[in-house]
Amino acid sequence: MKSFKTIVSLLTVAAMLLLFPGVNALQVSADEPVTYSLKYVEDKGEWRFHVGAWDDNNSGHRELYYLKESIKDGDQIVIEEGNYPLNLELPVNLKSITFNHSGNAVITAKSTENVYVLRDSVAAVNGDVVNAHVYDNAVANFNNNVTNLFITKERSGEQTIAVVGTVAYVKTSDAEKVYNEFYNFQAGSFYQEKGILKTDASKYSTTPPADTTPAQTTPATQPAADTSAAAPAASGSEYDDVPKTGESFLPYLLLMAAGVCFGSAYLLQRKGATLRRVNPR
Amino acid sequence: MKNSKKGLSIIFILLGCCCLIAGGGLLLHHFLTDRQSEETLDALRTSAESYRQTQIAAESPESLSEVSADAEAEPAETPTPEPTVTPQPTPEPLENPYQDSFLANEDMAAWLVVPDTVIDYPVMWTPRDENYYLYRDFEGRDSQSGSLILDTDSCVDPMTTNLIIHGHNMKSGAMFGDLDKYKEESYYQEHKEMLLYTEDALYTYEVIAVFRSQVYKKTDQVFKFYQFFQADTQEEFDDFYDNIKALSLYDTGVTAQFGDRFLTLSTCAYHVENGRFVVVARETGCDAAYAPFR
Repeated sequence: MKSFKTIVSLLTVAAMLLLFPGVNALQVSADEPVTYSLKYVEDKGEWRFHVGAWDDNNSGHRELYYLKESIKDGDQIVIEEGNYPLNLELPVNLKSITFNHSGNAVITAKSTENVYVLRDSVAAVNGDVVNAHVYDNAVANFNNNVTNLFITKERSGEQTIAVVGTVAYVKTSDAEKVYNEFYNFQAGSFYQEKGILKTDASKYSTTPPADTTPAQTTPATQPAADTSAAAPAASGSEYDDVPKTGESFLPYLLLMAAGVCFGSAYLLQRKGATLRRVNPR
Repeated sequence: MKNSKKGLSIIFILLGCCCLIAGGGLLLHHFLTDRQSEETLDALRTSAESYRQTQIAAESPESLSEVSADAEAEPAETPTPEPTVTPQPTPEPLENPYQDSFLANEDMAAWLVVPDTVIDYPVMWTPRDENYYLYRDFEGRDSQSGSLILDTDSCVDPMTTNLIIHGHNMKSGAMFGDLDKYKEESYYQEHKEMLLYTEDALYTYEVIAVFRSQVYKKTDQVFKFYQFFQADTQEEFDDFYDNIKALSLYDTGVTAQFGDRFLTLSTCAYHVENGRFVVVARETGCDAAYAPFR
């Protein structure tokens, strides 16, 4: 009996070992955040994307369909300048969206941590936003809630901003001073037209709520829409980065494991039958 | 005791069934997706073949003789008093037989053919993501055998000194599954020639070296065939050339000199961890120039 148990144990271990090499085929590596640049390509007549900064040679870009396939939580997008309408739905939680002097863009995401609407841009964002930064004469519509809204003046203070949801904190400033800070705008109440706040004073507060922690400081200058630093990081492997062209053995390993299991089951039943013959009681 | 054995036996049977279903399901899925991919490629090959047939028909002696007969007949009807120089017809630029494929997917950089082998595939080039087509077929659908991919550091226009093409080593022989047959010199003798159709031209190659190598650690200071793309100096060229000749499993008798260009086919091999089986071919010429079609 003891030897039989040993055999069964060995077979089980063998099955596990057979399966083990295939396990790596199921592993998912922790992907680095990727920045995608979007631009209207005139000769293609459509918006296209490029991983990392947009190539000055206007090459290496492809259809937005593929962007929807590959984008994931934590990625960043930059809408490059252009006056062509863009309406893009990305069912992920984005790290950031930058409207880089873009003419007429609507981005829908589950949520976005940082939105930068640079000067001359006309933008709309669907989905909750944690930090929204709007510069100079930009026009921005936020169709859900915004936690912190930073209105920054560099050349002019003529931003037009509407928020359909609530806004927890609003700060208007330039590089040298903070003009005002407001709190807790009711849903659908925040509206500023060409730098002038149009919201009824009864719908927000000028004093911070008791439990409010200071909002994060925001850079007073417009962030450059340089995406090169946020391009995908190189593989962390100690080996050179060369495409892996081997075939997966997982299906064959699974079939072998099935054979081992059926063999073990057969041996167990056969041993049981032998014991019953030797000792009928 | 009897019950515990019976229970264990049932567990093994259930486990076996799970493995069988999972393994069989995966194999079936791979089979179906690969068949779908192959159907797409077959359509593209048929299209290319029809272009070739059209060109052959246009160049056939019958059509030429008809033209000359017409040319001879014409003077009889409208005799000219003085002999004139008949202008030679300007040869029409050749049509690229793979133009439909190039138009169908702009990620396609070339079409690779090794005559009398299964290697007859599009070569995809995606500089933004080298591995995009590693597990995708020509149309971007998931595929276990993927597509042949041109290394992102290689380029066909302008053409780099070395074009490295990676392909899966499939047990079915598809893609570069049969590439390791080059380890036999007799196989090499029968399959020396390779053809690469780019958008602009047809390039021919002859095999110069066949060797086993591997992907090395980043810190390893050794010859890495997969890091040679451009030779701007004699020294850079010689380093690559000397190494591939030294590593070659047999002497092909083919030589090269600074200025020559190479085509390197690479696939996984299992002689060591991260092994690679590599066939290097030297460009022998540009057999045809194609008219622009975009």
